[in-house]
Amino acid sequence: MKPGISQGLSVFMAGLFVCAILSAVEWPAHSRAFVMAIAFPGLVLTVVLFVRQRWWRSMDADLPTLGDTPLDADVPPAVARRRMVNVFAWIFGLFGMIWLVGFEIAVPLFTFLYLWFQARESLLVSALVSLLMVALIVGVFDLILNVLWPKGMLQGWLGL
Amino acid sequence: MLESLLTALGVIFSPYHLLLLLLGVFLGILLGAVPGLGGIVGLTVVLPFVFQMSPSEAMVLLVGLVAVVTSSDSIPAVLFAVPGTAAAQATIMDGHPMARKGEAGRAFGAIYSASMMGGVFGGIALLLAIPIMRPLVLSVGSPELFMLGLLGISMVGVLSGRAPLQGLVAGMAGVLVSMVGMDPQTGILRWTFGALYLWEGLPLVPAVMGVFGIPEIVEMVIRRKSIADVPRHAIRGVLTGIGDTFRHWFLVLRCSVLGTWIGLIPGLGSDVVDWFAYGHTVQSSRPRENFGKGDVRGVIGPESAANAKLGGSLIPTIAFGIPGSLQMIILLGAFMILGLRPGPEMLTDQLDVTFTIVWSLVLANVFGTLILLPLTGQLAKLALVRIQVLAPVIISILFLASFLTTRDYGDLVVLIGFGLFAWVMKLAGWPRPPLVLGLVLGPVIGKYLFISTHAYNGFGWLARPGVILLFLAMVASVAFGLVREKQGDAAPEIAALGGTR
Repeated sequence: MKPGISQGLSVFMAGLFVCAILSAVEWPAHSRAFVMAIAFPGLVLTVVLFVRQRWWRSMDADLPTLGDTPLDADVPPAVARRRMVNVFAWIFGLFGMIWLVGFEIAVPLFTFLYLWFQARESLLVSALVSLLMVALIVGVFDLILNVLWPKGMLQGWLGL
Repeated sequence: MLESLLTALGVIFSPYHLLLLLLGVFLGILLGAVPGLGGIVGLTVVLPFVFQMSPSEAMVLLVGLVAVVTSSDSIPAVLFAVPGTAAAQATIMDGHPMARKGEAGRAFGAIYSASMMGGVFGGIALLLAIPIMRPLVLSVGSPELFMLGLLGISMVGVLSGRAPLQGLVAGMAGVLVSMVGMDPQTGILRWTFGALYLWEGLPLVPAVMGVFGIPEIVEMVIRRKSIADVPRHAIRGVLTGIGDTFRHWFLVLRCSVLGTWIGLIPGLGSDVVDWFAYGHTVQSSRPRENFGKGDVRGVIGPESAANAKLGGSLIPTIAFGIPGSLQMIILLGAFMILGLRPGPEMLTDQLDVTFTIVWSLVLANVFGTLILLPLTGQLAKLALVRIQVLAPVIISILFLASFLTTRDYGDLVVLIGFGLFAWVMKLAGWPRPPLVLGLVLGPVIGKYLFISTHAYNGFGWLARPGVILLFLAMVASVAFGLVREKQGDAAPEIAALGGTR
């Protein structure tokens, strides 16, 4: 466990509970009551947790830390950070590609680009796995399930 | 009655019916294995074809399809930590760690045999419940449903491993987030920020996929190893898994009863059954320190309950025409199309059809297992493929499956948002299962608390025998866990999937 991240998460949670309480103040009784019944105890618990993390950290000493995970044991922190940013960039990239060109093009394209550039797989493997994704989209989703995928923005701009 | 039972058995073993059953089972396996599809999609695809069929033919096909979805949905759950359907959420907890230890074969062996036993139990329960359905269903009202929701929430402690305070906070945050959308009771829009997409609330499937799927794939990509970091010869153990299920037969029985009972209650929803079963498994098992790290009991319990649930949920559907889930609503639609009237008629004039449903349920589970078991060895080998090759496929499937929930780009935002948040939770050592439990049970608690207090004009419902019984069960469950902790039984590392390994 990374104490800094855990404390940050506690602060975030406390903020979430406070926002919930403040926004529910003007709601009708039932809607307000349920929010308060959850958010108030949640806020109190989060404060207790934060105090414990901040000033009685030794109480959490028996908890396993992030250092115990295979992640840190196998990969140096700097490399782990770089790879983490990398994989999230690919995830956001796929989201952007779907928005831009739609699922039917974005998914096989993403698969190919990831395998070819990121994983440095051979052209054959990259193409085969990408074709597998085409088969999944066309075979299962399009033909059997008649899923209507939304067109991408690019197709809209080009009037396709 | 016995004559009808045997007639139905004869019907189902006719070549055409058998073929339809196998077709249903095959489709069910396929739909369960692809995340985001599942039984509802399967039923809607098959429904147009049942117009031309006789009631028994249609029931064989439809029940065969839905019966096995909850068996094959564990394939992506075990291999990639991506639940095939909502009923496989808790299977991830120990199934995926088993795959990472090279025990995917054992996990599948245990899952399929437990699923089969649970499914057969559900069928038998349906059969036995026919004469006593009415009092069983009517004994459960909204106060009992509210208490059941609370009983589920009380499992947060069990699911939080060595970080109970973090688990409680995460669970409460989950309940709070589940309130997003229009309040069904007052019509108030809660935290929708002007987005029409949020009026219906946050969809569960992309949220769960984000909470479990994204952090696991990110971690595997960072480690740059295959899912199972073991030699090829270690991927065995199907028979060991089957043996495990038989060794823990009492757990299978208990969880099957639990699954049938939850299925029986309309309104509780199918998403909670595996969490209830998992919570019960952890609470009632000893030693517990391996839960969350790949304990085979952690897959046996939820899987037997998930498959037993269908038998239970068919009881109110057949007896009263009260569908307890969307799947049952579609099935009820098929009843209407075929001219079947749920109610007393199903237990008198249409008893043959009712028994055909029972046999279909039992046989589909057996056939499903017989089809899946030979595939297990090959499926388990997927865990040895380099993660760099699998990563784009898994990420793409996460996106495709999430999008199918409401077919809105918002589903993808939910997936990524929950994925990022869950990754931070994992880094911080916070357990993630309580967050999901809060998301699942939040709407149940809110809805039935409102109905109960309005129906009874206050809190008079607290004196109902069922409520008292469930309250005592909740207290006993918590006390049992505390006593065990005091006795020095090591807390399970459920939070392994939450990062506190």
